[in-house]
Amino acid sequence: MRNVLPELRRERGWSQQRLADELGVSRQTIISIERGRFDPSLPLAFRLARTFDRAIEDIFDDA
Amino acid sequence: MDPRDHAADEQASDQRSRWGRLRGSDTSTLWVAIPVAILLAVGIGVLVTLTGVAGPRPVVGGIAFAFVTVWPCFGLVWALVVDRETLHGAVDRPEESVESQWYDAAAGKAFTDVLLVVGLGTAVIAFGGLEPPAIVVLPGVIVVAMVAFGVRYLLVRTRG
Repeated sequence: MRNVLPELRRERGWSQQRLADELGVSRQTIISIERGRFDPSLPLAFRLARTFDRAIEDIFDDA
Repeated sequence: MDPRDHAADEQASDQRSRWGRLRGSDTSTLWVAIPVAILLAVGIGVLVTLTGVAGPRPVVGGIAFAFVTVWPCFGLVWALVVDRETLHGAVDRPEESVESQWYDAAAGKAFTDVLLVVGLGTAVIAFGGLEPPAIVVLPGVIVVAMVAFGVRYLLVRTRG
């Protein structure tokens, strides 16, 4: 699933490891989400949205 | 998350170690896992020696069994006593990480592989009139399962 996670993360100046620590998942998970190879679970998507103060549909695009 | 919270998390992360600590204790798991594993392995070695299942040289066979089984015994004891939150690199929510999805996918595909291989093997044995000993067949099934899972996991991980 396409997403704007890399842009949001860079806006905050966070590394992939920092974001992974914030969410309690592995760095590989962040890498896979950013590449669109892994669709996060609903709870993880909600935590991502809350972390960046965005709606889920503002981060992910299933088109 | 507040930056101070993140700093506190990083400090806690620094206190983690490769082998972790016992549950509810500051003691390293190595202080328990190593001696218990050695005791278990020696027990297995003695059992093998006394029963003579290792062949014509029971003492040598017992020592060999003890040496071979000490490593899995260590792994088993360590897995039972370790507090995973004290392990370096352990994440808070492993079930939501991509590795968990890889594991599930690999396990599902490996199960199909094992069914296929064991089914074909059974057919070959039945129609070929073979009678392999169970001590060979059962470890063979375990090896097939381990190899199937390992290969499947590598393939799933490579595909991302």
